[in-house]
Amino acid sequence: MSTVVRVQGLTKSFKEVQAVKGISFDVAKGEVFGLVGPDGAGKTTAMRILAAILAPDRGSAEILGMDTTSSREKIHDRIAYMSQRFGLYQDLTVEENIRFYADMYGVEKKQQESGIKKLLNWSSLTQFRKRPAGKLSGGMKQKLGLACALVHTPELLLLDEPTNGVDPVSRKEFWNLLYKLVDEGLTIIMTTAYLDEAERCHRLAFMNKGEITARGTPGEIVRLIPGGVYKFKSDNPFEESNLVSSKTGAVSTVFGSQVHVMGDVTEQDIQTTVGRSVQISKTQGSVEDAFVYLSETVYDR
Amino acid sequence: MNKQRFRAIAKKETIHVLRDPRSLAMGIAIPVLLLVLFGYGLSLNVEDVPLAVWDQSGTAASRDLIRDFTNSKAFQPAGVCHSQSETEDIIQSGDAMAVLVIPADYGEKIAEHMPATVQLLVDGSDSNMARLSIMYAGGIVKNEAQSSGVSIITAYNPAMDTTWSIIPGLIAIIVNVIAAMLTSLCVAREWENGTMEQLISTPVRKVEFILGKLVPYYAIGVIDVVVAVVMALFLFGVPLNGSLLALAGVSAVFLLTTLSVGVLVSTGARSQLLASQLSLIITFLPGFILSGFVYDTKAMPGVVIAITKLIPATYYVSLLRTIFLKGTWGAAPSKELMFLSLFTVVILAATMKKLKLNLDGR
Repeated sequence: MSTVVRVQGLTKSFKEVQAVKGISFDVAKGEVFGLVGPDGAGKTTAMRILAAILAPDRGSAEILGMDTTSSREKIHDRIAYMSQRFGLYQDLTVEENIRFYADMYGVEKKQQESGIKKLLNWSSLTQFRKRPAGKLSGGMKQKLGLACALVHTPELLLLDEPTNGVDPVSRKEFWNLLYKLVDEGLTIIMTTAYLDEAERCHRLAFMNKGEITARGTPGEIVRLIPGGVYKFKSDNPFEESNLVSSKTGAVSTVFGSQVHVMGDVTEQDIQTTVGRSVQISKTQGSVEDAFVYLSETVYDR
Repeated sequence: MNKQRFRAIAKKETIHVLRDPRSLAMGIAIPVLLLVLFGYGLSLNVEDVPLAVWDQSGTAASRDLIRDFTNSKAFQPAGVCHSQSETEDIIQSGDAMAVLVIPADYGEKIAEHMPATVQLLVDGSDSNMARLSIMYAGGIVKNEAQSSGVSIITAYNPAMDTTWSIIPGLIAIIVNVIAAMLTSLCVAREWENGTMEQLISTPVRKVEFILGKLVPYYAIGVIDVVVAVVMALFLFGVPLNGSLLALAGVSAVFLLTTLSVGVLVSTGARSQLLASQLSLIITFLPGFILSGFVYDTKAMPGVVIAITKLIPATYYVSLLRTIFLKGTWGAAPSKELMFLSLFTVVILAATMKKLKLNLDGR
């Protein structure tokens, strides 16, 4: 499989803050690659560099064999980028927005008619074609963004938190659209803070404080939690979770009324710390557990 | 430059303007409003200046002259003096702003058809009022055929109606401010609304971006100039002594100049508020104060005169006055037009250099 994206030692600082600290990864053709991590991890900065709209301080990012700093416009011709913030014109209608981007990407007028019709149909926005983009719901806005991004049939799609603030039904719809694109061989890099979405990616890179602390398939990521996850029910989950993490040094988190404990800890340690007889079960954990674990520990590479 | 992208940007920018009643209002209604307000309000005509009289002659001729003064709209009687010290006192106290002094031999000289002299003492603390009072007095005295003490020749404005010289300058100032402000907003708006990040991810080039943005605002500017000229001619009755073609040509160049200034401002300002404030300060203040619109630049110190030469509005004010009132077209206007063109090229070049279609350095 050919490499679409090659990132090497990418570094970017803003004044005192080092947003991205020497990250490296490759993405192959047809892959859905997820950059996952907490807010402020440097995901958006990394995406902007990949989109060739921000130059790195050090390191390089090669897109389709071209350098993002020296061949900006050539890269722009062949990729698409959807910014985290809705970037389309609110006072332009759905159709006007798509047409504008078709023109910006130099899609020939003859091809535009059929292409736009197909995209409207594909994103089920046909009946809203005359509606101003600002009057669309969150989910429809994202679908419109996707339609505008795909109008020139790009070879790489960069999505920065594409489903942020979108309801679950619309998110599912959005993902169905993405799967269709993947089936057609499109390469996608996306950032997300939703862990159910991370599980849908082929490969993940966990970013924390500007560094990639873990990488692999969702399954591989889950296996990075050493010794699995201990779960127990609690009436004061937050209190007991804090107690366990401060006393044992393990990573502890709360899901509903359940406390999940990960790290260098035994069942006996938990029992002793909580100071009552609790029913503890042990599972392999989810990507979400791994996310919490990796966010709170510096993963030793 | 790619024509398709240029057209797409021009088209979408036009849609923004047409669908935003506020920017349309700012672009067209405000200039009309300003022209009406300033055209009537800023009229520098002087009326009812309180005038005291020291008539040392006390003859029929001197009383005729006094009557001419007090009957004019410019002056109203404010007392009688009998000595030098009284004339000073009445001006000091503010009861009169001018004193007409008629010498004792005035009556005799008029009777003998000899040149006679009268004196006008003016309160110089309001220099504008003083200057205009002297102008009016000169006009009145000239009507008294024999007496010719005060002689001020107003060459290009024989009616002494200041509206005539104000309106052309006013058109220049308004076009200057509005055009710069409109374009200064249009780039800042893209940053503020988050549409810029999406736009710069396309293969758009700077030239397409700048020129595409200029198109709709240029059209608004042309409408402004046309409306303002029509108002000047038909509402204020300003004569157009020069050619309409010259007026159109000069305005076409100046519009590009001031629109470019707006784009340059917006490359440095990421918020609409900052952009509008900046463009207002950059265009309005110097345009109003230093362009020769209100104050005669010739009377300013050398350094300030040098600064006025660097302000495009100075040239447009002067060119419009020339075209409207003088109607001539000599070597000087060509030079002024040359400067405007050069200035535009420099500003556009600076904009090209300063505009960043990426997020570097943010």
